[in-house]
Amino acid sequence: MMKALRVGLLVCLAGIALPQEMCAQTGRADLTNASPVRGAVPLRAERHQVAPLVSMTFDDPYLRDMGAGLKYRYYFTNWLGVGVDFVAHFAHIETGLSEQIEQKLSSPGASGAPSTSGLGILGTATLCLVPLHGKFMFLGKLPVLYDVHVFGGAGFGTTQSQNIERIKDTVAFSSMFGFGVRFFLSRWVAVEIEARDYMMNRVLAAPHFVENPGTQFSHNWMVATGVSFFFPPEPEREL
Amino acid sequence: MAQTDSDRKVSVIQQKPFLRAMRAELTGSFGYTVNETLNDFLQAAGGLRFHITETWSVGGSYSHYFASDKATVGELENEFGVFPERSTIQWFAGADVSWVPVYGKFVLFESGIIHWDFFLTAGAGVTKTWEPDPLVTGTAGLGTRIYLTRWLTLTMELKDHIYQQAFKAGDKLMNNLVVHSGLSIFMPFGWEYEYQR
Repeated sequence: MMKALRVGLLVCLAGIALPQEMCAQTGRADLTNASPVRGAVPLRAERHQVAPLVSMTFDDPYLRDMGAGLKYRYYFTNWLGVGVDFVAHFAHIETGLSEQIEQKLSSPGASGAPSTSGLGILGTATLCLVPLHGKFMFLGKLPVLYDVHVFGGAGFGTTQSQNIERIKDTVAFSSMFGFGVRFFLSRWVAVEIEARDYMMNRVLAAPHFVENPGTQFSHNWMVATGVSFFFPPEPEREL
Repeated sequence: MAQTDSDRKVSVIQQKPFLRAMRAELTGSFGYTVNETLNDFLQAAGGLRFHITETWSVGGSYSHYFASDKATVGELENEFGVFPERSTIQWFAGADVSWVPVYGKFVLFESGIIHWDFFLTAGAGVTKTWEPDPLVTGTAGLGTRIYLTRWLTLTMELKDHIYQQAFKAGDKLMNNLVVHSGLSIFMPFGWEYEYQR
């Protein structure tokens, strides 16, 4: 009786174990509930990112600002990171509208150029999400890994007056929102392009005869591009 | 050896998930001009495109413009006392050639794989402004289609419309940079693969 029970138990155990053993031997697995990407290399998880970048504002009515900066992130997971961003603006270019106002309001011996103020230094603490990542084929031959990221943060922003006797330099609270795409050239180097909106109270411009005009809430859209370096250079791979 | 359901879904050579060749694409979209400082230009647009091959297609489109003043106009009038001459667009119609150099896929929140392509366009058309005659316009654009089903895509495009506009102060080359976002329907709605897996 005991012998028959033992044999029955062994047959049952073998029946349970056999399909798994077969899968192991052939290297197959049931993919029904598997992750959509198998054996993916997590290019961001538990890595530091340092990215020098250059930027230029757009959609500016009076003054276009060009800047350079640095961004740092630490990614806790493949989709969540925190860090800081700094952008310092080094050049300010008048738009066509500013030139038209100057032409219209200037008279012999008196410039009618509007008083303007540009962006100075922007600094934010930033939260970054990477909702999607994938790969594409360029010209059907070259596979490229990429991600799309969105980010937002808060910090400070300074302004640089172009007519210091009429408009004062300011420091104000600034919030920032942006999104971008990053293309990986290798496992630790990527190029990226981003659109950012820095929102703050500032003076954009004032007529030449006005001193100390009031500030107003403004959106400051810019496009930024740079090269990202990820550390450690070799990501941890999920097996 | 018995195959599981997932075994049957996996092929050594994957089929392309979306085929464009010899299909027509009907697009409806909304647009917004992103580089205009004095006007808000919203657009309702429609287009028809025929894909000759997987990578090349030709198409035509029409955009109707709805214009309103930006806050900057009020500032200029009230604070500076100037009334700048500006170009108000009424509509655009044109045709273009499109090339698809990139196709790819992405994972959205680790939930599933979504396929897409990236395309470039170059073309010509006419822009109707306040001038009596429409202005000859060159176009250049880039965009992406995200495949939602076998016959429906989410389509986004950034297109620059370049034309010469006459102002009292002289002629000026205008760049009207428009972001379009809409849906495309592909016809016929399905296809048969040449080699079934």
